Amino acid sequence: MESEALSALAGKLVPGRFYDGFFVSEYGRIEALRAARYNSAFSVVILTIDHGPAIDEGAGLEALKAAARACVDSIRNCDVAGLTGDGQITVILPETDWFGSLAATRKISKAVSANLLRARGQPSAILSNATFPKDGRGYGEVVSAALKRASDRKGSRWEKDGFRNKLFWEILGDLTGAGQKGAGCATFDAGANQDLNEFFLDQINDFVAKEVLRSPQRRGIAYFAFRGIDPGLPLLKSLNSAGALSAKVFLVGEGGSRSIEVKNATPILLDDPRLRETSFTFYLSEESGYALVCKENWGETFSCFHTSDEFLVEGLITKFQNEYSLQEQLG
Amino acid sequence: MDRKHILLAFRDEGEMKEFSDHISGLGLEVESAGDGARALELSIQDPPSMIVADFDLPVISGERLFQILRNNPHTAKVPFLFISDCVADIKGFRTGVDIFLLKPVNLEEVSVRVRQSLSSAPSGMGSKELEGRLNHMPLADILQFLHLNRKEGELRLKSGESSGAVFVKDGHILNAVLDGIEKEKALFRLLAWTDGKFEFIPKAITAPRKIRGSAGGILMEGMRQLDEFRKRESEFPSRDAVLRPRAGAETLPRGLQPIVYEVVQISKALGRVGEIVERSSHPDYDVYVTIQGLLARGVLAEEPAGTFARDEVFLTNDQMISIREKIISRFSGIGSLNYGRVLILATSGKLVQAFLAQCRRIPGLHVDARSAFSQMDNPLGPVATLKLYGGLDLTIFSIPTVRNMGPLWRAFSSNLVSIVLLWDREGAESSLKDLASAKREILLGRRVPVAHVFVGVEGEEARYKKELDLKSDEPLFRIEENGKAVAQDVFYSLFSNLLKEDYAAI
Repeated sequence: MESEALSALAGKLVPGRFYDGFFVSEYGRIEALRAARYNSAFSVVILTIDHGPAIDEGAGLEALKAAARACVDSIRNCDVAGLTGDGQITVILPETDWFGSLAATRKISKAVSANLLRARGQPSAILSNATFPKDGRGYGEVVSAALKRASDRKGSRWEKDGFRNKLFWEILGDLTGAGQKGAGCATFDAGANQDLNEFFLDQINDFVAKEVLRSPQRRGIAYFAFRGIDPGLPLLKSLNSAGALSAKVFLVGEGGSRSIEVKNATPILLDDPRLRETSFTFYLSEESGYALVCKENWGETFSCFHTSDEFLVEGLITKFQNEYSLQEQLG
Repeated sequence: MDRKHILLAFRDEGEMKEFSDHISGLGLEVESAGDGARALELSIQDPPSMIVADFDLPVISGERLFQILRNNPHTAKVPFLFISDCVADIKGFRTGVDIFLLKPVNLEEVSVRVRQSLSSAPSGMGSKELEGRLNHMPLADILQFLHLNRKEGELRLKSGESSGAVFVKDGHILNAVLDGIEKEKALFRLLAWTDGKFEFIPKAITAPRKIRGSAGGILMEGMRQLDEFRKRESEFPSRDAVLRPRAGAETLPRGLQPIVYEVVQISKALGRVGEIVERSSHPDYDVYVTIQGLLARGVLAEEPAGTFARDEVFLTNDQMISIREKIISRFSGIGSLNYGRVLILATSGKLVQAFLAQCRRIPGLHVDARSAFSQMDNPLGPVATLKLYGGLDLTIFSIPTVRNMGPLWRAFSSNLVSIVLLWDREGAESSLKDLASAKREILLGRRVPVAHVFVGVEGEEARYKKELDLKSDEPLFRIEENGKAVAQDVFYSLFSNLLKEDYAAI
């Protein structure tokens, strides 16, 4: 579609609060200069309507309208949203860091998905975010980083395996069930008579905790779930010995576990018997993501799955928070 | 000289004429066939230098024609250039010999491919047109000969373990490469070779021109530098002499030759003359002359013999500050940066232990004996720490390379500064692919300097270089039983690569 036609269309989608591509990119450039001048951050969220009909067809236009409306309704007054391409909406979030943009992405995603469900043809939306100066030193670089993340997200297991529509424990079952070896996702066995003993799992958890502790000013979120929260765990010793942390650390255990105080961590006690046989660790920071899921089998052996696919980690954290009615926080 | 002719086989006459006009414009003889049967007949009668064929030919298809000719000993070596509407899987297709292009085809690309194919074909346009030994014909004479005859191609040279190449086009010297260095520095080093083999392979050279000036001028300059160096060698500081900059490059006046700033900058991180000469991008003689000039003017000072023992001082404060500043400049979140990470990827835990045993001798580097010398086959976690000036530590972190530990590679590579790969013959035979994919995967996230350490006897490592995708800026060190300790050199090379400009902020 021609840029003039896109501009005209943008003005009609949500009159008064939705802008055209030229305005958004100029605003973004100025925002980048401002953020560089005042040493602050800003973020960009890009929404792409996927598998939908072309937007100049009736249904496509309807989907775009629904997405634009949902977007505008879920952002702050200071944020700027506009149509920047065929089926592509860009939102500029001033004074917003990486985790802030991640939270905004979640919010927009929820509103857009609900609105798109009602649209004909049920198109889906892919959202991605990027932050200045972490992902780029200019508006163009930040937008390119967001577009790259959008394509990475499309290739992630979260989107490819349709985990969006599955339940948390169902996803954990799928992940530990299938054997795979790869740089992003892999499974392995640990425990009695295996190459790796169960202390290896404790060691990985301890390293994740140490990653959090290594940069105490850096934001992030980590969930460590075990059958019982044992004060002798190396990870708890590491957490206890550290100073104040910016990252949020949660220890998840069964409701019956005796109450325990751990410095730098918040215990979450859940009354769920599935925690007796499955432990998991989710860690998400600005730079990386890691998830480890271990299912205990007979004879003290464990079927484990781990991944560095940050979209999968983010999805697992979101599902876990939603299904257990926990606070929807990220970092 | 062989007569070169190209056989064109196309279904469409218009297409045939277009290709025929273009290829005959290259000075090649062209024969045409409108179907596969005619192409086969012509090929058998007089095997062409190359066949450019439509994939979808009438009577006998392009693929069938290819297979019949491949099975005939007279035509088996004829290279094919297929042009097709869609991607096809051709049985027997020889990558690097045969070419497959999708329509629409750019005629310029076809002519480049045809020229390349003809120049690399074993029976084609004179492979190894010239070959011999350097003690019979010195490099300067060969280059003059190529210049006078306005030749185009690659002159390959080999002497002992070293191999280099000089790229020539229209007689002009475009570039020279030698063991990871290039331009005049490489060419002048090659000019000093008195023994070794050479061969000239005429072929189309598409590499950019990196050596400026006429061939005659550059050769005269190279020979002059060689003579001057021999004459003045005794005046220059020895390669093992240690230099200290008295002033930083930023305090020097503006407008000096770039080599002056480069030498002062390198000398901040690397003290030895030999290391400065190796790291500098300028010819060796120029570097020696610059060092001598800077010593005379008091910008550099030579340390008295024996005061610098590596066992006592690993990095000076100045060096540490330079490294620290460089690490910090690579990350956007400076506030949260209090450590840098050096990843160790090894094919076995034994190798990590061997390397760390050498690291123990490095002053300021503290090996974590508990994690580094654990009984694990492939240790995971921090194994040593090097304290840098200003509260920035370098954590040396070992990570397993087995495929099912892949997710750990990215997850534990935040604040990455460099990578050390350790391997031996046994490990290379069994898990070199894992090591290579770990390296590739980590470098996809952030480009950092890489150093390789091979544990074993000399010469064995060469055959694994390709599989590990060893780049020219990835130095390879060797640990031999009872041999010299290399750990310090490994870190020196990582730091000096880190200080290079091309590892700027990402």
